[in-house]
Amino acid sequence: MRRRARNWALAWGALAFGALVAVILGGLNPRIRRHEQADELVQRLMRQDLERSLAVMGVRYRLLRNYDEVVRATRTFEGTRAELDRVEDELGSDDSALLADRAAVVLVVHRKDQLIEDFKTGSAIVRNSLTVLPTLVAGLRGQPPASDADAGTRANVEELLRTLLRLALDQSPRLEVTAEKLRRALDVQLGQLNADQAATVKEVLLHADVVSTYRIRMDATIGALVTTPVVERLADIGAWHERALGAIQRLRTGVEVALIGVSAALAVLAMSLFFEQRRLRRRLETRVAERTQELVASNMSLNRANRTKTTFLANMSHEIRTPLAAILGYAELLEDPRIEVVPRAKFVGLIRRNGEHLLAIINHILDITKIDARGLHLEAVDCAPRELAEEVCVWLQQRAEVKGLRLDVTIADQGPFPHTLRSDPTRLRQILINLIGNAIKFTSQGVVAVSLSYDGSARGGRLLIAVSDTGIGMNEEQRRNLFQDFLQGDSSIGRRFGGTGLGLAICRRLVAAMGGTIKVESQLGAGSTFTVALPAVATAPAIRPRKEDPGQAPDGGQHRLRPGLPILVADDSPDNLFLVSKMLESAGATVEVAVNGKRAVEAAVASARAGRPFAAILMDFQMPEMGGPEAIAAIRAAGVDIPVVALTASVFKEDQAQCFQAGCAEFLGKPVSRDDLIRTLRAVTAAWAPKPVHAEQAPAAAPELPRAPPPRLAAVAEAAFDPERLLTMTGGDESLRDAILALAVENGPGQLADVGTALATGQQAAVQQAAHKLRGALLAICAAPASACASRLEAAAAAGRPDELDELFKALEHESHRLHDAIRAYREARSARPMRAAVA
Amino acid sequence: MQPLEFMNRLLSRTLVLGVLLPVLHGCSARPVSGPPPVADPVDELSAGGPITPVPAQAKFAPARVELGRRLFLEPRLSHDDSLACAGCHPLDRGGMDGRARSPGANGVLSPRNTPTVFNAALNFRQFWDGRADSLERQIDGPVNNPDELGSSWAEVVQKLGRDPSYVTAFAAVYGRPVTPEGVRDAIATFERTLIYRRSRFDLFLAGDTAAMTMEEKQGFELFQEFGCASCHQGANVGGNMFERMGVIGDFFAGRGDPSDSDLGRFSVTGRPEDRFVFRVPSLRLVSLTAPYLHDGSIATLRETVTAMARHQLGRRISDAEARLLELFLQTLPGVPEGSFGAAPR
Repeated sequence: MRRRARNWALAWGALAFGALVAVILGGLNPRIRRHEQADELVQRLMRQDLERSLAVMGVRYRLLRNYDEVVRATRTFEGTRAELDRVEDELGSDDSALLADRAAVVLVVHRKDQLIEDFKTGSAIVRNSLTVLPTLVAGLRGQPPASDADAGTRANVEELLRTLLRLALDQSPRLEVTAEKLRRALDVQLGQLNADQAATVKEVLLHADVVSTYRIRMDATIGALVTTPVVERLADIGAWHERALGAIQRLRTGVEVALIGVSAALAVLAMSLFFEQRRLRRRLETRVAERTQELVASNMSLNRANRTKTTFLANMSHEIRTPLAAILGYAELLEDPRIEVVPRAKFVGLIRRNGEHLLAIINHILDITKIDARGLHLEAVDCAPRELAEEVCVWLQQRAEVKGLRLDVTIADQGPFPHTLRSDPTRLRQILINLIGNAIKFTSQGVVAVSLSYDGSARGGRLLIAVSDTGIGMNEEQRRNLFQDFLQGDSSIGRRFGGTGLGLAICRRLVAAMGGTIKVESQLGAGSTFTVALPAVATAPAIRPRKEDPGQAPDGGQHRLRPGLPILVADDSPDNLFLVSKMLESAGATVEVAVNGKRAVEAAVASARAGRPFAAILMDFQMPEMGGPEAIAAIRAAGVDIPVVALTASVFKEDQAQCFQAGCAEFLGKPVSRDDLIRTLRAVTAAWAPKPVHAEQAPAAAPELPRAPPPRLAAVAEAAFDPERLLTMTGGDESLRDAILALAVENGPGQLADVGTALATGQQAAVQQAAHKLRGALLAICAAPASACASRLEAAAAAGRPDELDELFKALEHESHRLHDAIRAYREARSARPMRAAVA
Repeated sequence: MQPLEFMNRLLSRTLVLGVLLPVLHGCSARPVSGPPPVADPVDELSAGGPITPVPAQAKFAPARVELGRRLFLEPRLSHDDSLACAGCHPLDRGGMDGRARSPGANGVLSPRNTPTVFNAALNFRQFWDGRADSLERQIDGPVNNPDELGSSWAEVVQKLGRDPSYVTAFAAVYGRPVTPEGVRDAIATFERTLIYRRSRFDLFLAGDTAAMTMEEKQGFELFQEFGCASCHQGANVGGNMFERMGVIGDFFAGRGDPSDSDLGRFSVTGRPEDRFVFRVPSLRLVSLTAPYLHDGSIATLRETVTAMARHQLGRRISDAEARLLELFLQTLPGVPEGSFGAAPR
C-alpha cells in the first residue's frame, strides 16, 4: 500500500510537472507565433517595399500614368507595417536592439514616404511640363517662320524638346549639356522674335527649366528612395525575430524533450502501477479465495455444528418429551377417579421411571454445561484405580447381567501397577461409568472388558484405561463424530439405544481437563475399544497384576457390600429401619439400628471406643429426641469421624446443603432404592479397612427365585400396591420384598390405629404426625392408593381442615384394609410355590 | 486484469498528455480578423491611363454601416448638440455645405473649405494638408476642434452611453459599450460606403464611346493635353498625391491676405519644400462642390479651371477651352451608392 501511495504521488508529481511544462510552452507558443508572424510580416514588408519602389519607378519611366498604384502599394505597405507594429507590441519585448531596429525602420520608412511624395509631386510637375512642351512646340510650328533667325529659333526649340524628352528617360550628362546650350541659345534668340512667338518660346523655356530642375531633383529623389535602406532595416528586425525565435524554439525543444521524457516516465509509471496493481489484485484474489475457502469451511463446520446441535436438540427434545409425555399422560390418567387402584400403582411406577430417566438426561446436560463453563474443579488425592474400576463394575453389573454380558476388570500384564496414585477419584469414576456404561449399552452379547495398566516410563507416569466391548462397533464417520458434543455415532443410535449422547462428550472433557487423551478403535459390528491415558503419579507400592480376587469378585458385586461391613442405621420409623436394614444385610453388611439421634450417637461413639467403628452411619434427619444434624455434631464432637450418609424425605436443596454442612459425606432421598443405597455406601466406605478380628459371616446369598409372579396374581395385587416397583426398590431382592410386605402386614393396623387415636383426641398435630408415619410405611411398600389417602389426611390436618379428617380417615381405613387384603392375597399366592425367603 | 482493460487504464492515464501535447505545439489557429480583402476590379481598358473608373467598394455589415450613418447624423457628437458631421457634409448636396468656409458649433468659420465626404475613402490622405492618413483619424479632427464640433471623445462616449439605443447598437455591432474606437470605426465604415461611381466618364472609359458628348470628349482631351491629368489622376481624379499650390505662378501673391492655413503641408512636416503644398483634391464631385480651392476663394468651376491652368500649368486657356474642361468635369461624379439619405431615427 505504501508503495502504491508513492506511485500515485509520483504520478501526480509528473502530471503537475507536465502541466507546468504545458503552461510554459503555452506561454511560449504565442510568442513563437508572433515572432514567426513578425518575421513573415518583415519579409512581406520587404517585398512590398520593393513593389512600392517599382511602382515609383513605373511612374518614373511612364509605365504607369497615375499614382493609384503607388498609393495602393504604400497603403498595403503601411497596413502590413501597422500589423507588424501590433505584433511587436503584443510581444512586448523591451529588447533595446529591437526597439532600435523598430525606430530605424520608422525613420527610413518615413524618409522613403517623403521621398515618394516628393517624387510624386515633382514628377507631376515634370510630366505636366513635358506634356505642355510639345503643345507649345507644335504651336510654334503652326506659325510661318518670319525670318532665318526665327527658323533657327524653331530648330533650337525642336531640338530642346527632343533633348528634354530624351532627358526624361536618359540621365546622360551629355543631354543635360545639350539642353543647357539650347536654352541659352533660345534665350539669346528671344529678342529676334515677335511678341507672340517670344511669349511661346518663354513658356517653352519656362517648362524646359521646370523639366531640367525637377528632373534632376526627381532623379535624385528616386535614387534616394531606391537606396533608402528600408529593406536593410527591415532585415535587421527580421534577423532579431529569427534570433528570438531560435532561442524560444530551442527552449521549446528542450521543454518538449523534457516533456517526452516525463511522458515516457509516466508511461513507465503507469505500467509499473498496472503491474503493481495486478500483483496486489492477484494477491488479494488469492487471499479472498483463501478466506472464502476458510469461510466456507468454517461455515460448513458451523453448519455441521448447528446441524449437530439441532439434531441433538431434536434428540434431546425427543428424549425429554418421551418421558415427559409418559409422565403427563399417566398423571392425567391418575386424575380419573374411575381408574382402578392396581393400574394406578402401575401408572405411578411408570411416571417415576420416566421421571428418573428425565433426571438422568438433565443431569447429563448439567454436567456437560458445567464442564463447558469451566466449573470443573479437579482434585488430586490418592486413590486406588483398580478398586475404583471394580466398584464401577459392581454398580454396572446388574445392567450387564440383564443383557447377559460378562463384565471383567483386569490389570494388564505389562509392568507393575501401583496400588494408589494421585488423581481425582470422582472424575475417574465418572469416566469409568461412562465408558463402561456405554460399552454395556452398545453390546448385546459377549464381554465388556476393562483393562488397567500403568506406564511408569512416561513422564510423571500414566494411567491407561482400556474399555473393550464386543458390541455394534462403529464405522469411520461415526468414530470421527464420537467425541463431539451432542452427537452419538449417528442420530439413529439415540432412538435405538437411548441415552443422551453426552456421555462420551463428558468423558472427552474430563480427560482433557485432567491432561489426558482418549482414543477409540473400532470395527463396525466387531466392537470398540476406548483407551484413556491420564497422567497420574504413583503414590503406593506397585502390586503384581492379578487375574482375579476371589474375595472381592466383581461378579454380582453391584448389589453387595463388603462382607460384615458394619453400618449403623438411625431412623425413628421402624418401617424404614427395617427396610434399610434388610437392604443392607442382604448386601452383606452388618447392621445396627438406632431409633433416634441420641441412640445413634451412643452407638457410634461406643463402636469407635471399642476399636470397631462403623464403616458408615445412615442417618434420618427428622427424628425425635435428637435430629440428624445434632447427632452428627455430637458424633464429631466425640472425635468420631465415621462417614455419615443423610437419609431424608426432603429433596430441597437447602436441606441437602444442611446435610453437607452438618458433615454428611453423602445424601440420599427417600424413598431410597437399594441400588442407590448400596452404591452410596460403597462409595463412602471405600477407604474402610475391615479389622482382621472382625469375622462375622454374612448371611448366605439368596438363591435364584422365579423372576415374576404369575400374571393373574400380579394383576390382583396391582391396585393396592405395586410389587414390581417394590422389587425394583429392593434391588430385585424378592426375599427382602417379602419381608417388607410381612412387616407392613404386621405393623400396618397398629399405625392406622395410631391415626385413629390421634383423630379421636382431636389433636391435629398428632393426626398429622401419625398420618405422616403411616404414609412413610405405605410408601415403603409402594402402596400408592393408601399412601395417597394418608397424604391427603396429613395435608388436611396440617392445613387445619378438621371437618375433612373423618372422611379422609375413612378413605384411608378403606384403602388400608384393601391393601392388607391385597398383600395377604399376594403372599398366599407366593407361598403356594417353593421359596426360601428369610422372613423375619 | 484483462489486456484491454489495461490499455483503457493506460490510455486514460496518459490522456492528459494527449491533451497537453497539441497545446504545446501551438495548435490554436488565430481567427481571421476583419473582412476578407476585396480585390479592386480595375478596368483592364484603363489600366495604363491617368484616370480609371471608380472601382466597386468592399461591402460592410449593414448594422455597422447603419450605426455609422446614425452617428454621422448625430448632433450629440458636438459639444452643444447642435452640429453633426452631416452639418458640414450634407449627404444630399454632394457631401459638403457649399460654403467657402463652414461655421463650427460655436459659429467660428473653419480656416479651409470643406471637402466632400463622398469618395473621401478613395483619397490617400485626409484633410487638405493630408495630416490624417485614414478616415478614422480624420474624425478625431472635427470632434476635438473647438471651432468645429467642439467636443471630446470622453464627452461623446458619455453622451452616447446614456442612450440605450446606442448601447444596444454598439453591443450588437462591437460587443462592447460605446467607445471612441467604435464611433470612429462606425463613421469611417459608413463613409466608405459614400461612393459616387458609374459616371458617364467611367462608362466611356469602359468602352462606351457614346457615354460622352463630343465636347465632353474634347474636354477630356484638353484635360490630358494641358497636363491637368498629371495631378488629377487615378480613380478619384486626384486625391492621391501632394502638389504645390502655384507651381508656375505665385497663387497667393495674386490672391493676397496670406494666412497659416495657406502653408498647407508645411504645417505638418515643417519642411520648407512643403510650403503651400496641399493634397491634390479629387475632381470626381467637383461639379457638385463649389466653391473651390482650399480657401473656397473661387466660386465657379470655370474660373477655377482657368486659375488652375494659369498657376499650376503656366498656361492661359481660352474660355472655350475652360468651357470644354468644365463640360468634361461634369461627367465625372456619377451616382451615389448606398442608402445614406434616410433621416436619423
